[in-house]
Amino acid sequence: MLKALKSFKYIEKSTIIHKLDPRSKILSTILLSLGVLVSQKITPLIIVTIFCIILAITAKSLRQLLRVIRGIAPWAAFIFLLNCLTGSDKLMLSIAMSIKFVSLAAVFSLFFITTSPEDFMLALNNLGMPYEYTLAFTMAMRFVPSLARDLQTIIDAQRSRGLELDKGNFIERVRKYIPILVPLIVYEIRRSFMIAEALESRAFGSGKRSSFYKLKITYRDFVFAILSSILLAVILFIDIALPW
Amino acid sequence: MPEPDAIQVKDLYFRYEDSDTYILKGVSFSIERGEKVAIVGENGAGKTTLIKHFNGLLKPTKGSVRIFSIDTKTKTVAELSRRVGLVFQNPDHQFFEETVEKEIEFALKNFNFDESERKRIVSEMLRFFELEKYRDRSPFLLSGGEKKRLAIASVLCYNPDILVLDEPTVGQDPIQKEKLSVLLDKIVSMGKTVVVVSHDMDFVAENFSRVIVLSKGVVIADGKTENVLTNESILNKARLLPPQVTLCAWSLSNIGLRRDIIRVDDIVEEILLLLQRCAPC
Ligand SMILES: Nc1ncnc2c1ncn2[C@@H]1O[C@H](COP(=O)(O)OP(=O)(O)O)[C@@H](O)[C@H]1O
Ligand SMILES: [Mg+2]
Repeated sequence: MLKALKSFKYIEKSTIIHKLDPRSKILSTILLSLGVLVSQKITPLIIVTIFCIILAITAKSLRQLLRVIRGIAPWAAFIFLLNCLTGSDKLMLSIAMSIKFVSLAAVFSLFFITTSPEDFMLALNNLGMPYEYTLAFTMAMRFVPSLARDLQTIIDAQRSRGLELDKGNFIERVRKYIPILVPLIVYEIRRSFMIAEALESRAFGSGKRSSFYKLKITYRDFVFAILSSILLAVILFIDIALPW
Repeated sequence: MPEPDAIQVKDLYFRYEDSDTYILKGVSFSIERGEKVAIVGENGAGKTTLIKHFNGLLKPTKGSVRIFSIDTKTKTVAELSRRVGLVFQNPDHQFFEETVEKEIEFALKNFNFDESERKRIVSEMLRFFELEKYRDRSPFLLSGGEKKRLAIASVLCYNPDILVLDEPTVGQDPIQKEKLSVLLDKIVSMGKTVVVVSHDMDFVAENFSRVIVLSKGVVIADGKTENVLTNESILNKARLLPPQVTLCAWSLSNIGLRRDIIRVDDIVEEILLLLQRCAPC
């Protein structure tokens, strides 16, 4: 789970996908996830997944995407089992459900893998969301990896003092998370106060802001948006026309 | 039969699971029982990664790490920690109890010390680290120096043979550093092996006779502090600066000061000698 979280981290790369305008990526993410949510059949869902994989290859980020998929594979298996157990003659639907989960994760993680938090924030601002909200969101995104690292350090420090997380019965094990969660929470709360002070000392919230980066839509964004729309149409068509 | 080395690192290679670059590339050295050694190197050199191998938090990708000739691959972190106490850089990464006293007791409980012994050791530690008046205070309310001492106490309490400290002088004022060096000497005189990671050259110069230099995951020097910290090519390669005293000695070398001076006492003695020789003229 920690690993899946870490692989959400944006890594700067110079590819066509990375350079697309974040707004066109948001549009296509919404279109594709709509398609995935509506679809009940295996074929369209697999098409979406393959489309994501092709995009990931173009963006030179296949390994990251596969890591996310590997991270959620156990949950997909769980969904499959649950569906199988509740309805006996719905094998195809159960398969579709777990692929649905995987493809939805692929669509979203592809967006976050290839879009820098700053770009995402700018796009949301341009689409009318107030800066305070988008800032909170991008900061949360940015601190996921450092949170993961703090957690690792705290676990290491407590293990060095003899804490054995995997020993004892269930209740004992749950109690063993206290020495890990308390420092983590205290540490992160302190850090949030420091960040707030740093923001305020740089005149955060003093009024209207200008922005250094400007978003620009190019013909590539149109092509990408049209491509995604066509894909959505294909998905919907297959979903209605084909038996599975 | 000779006594086994406290720490023996042999051709250690290590990379984190999620990356393909090696952080440690063929590190080898050994540290005898009772030694006091500093490991220095610039940020990101791999010092923390290296010392996490000493109690098995990390296991070698290639090569081996032995603690009193026991391969760390064959033991759990808890078993190794009983002999190798690791004090992390930031005390805030480990405090969680309501009182200083309980914070020290944490490791003792984990290692199954009985109640009367725990009480005795806690009192001893509070005295040793001058924390008696804070016994019932929250660890979060201590000052930086007190936190650092508590962090060391919370590890030293269970009496490990080897004590490893990661950057203990970071964020400490000069008085606290002084206290720290006195404490380290006392701990060594208890027969313990002490390894300190630091890039505080003045602290290393004053307190250690042996230093290991790590640069980009490779040991580029290992020897007497006065030789290593005054060797310009090593310092440049490791991107470190010599101790202040050495810089002073270098500036004064044209009036006859030796270039391998690293401690305040030595430079004072040297200058006095020079002055005496000049006194008649
Ligand atoms: N948990 C981790 N996962 C991946 N890389 C890491 C991790 N911890 C440290 N690193 C990397 O290993 C290198 C050495 O780090 P570290 O051992 O902390 O150096 P030092 O303590 O000498 O400053 C750095 O480049 C750091 O980014
Ligand atoms: Mg470090």
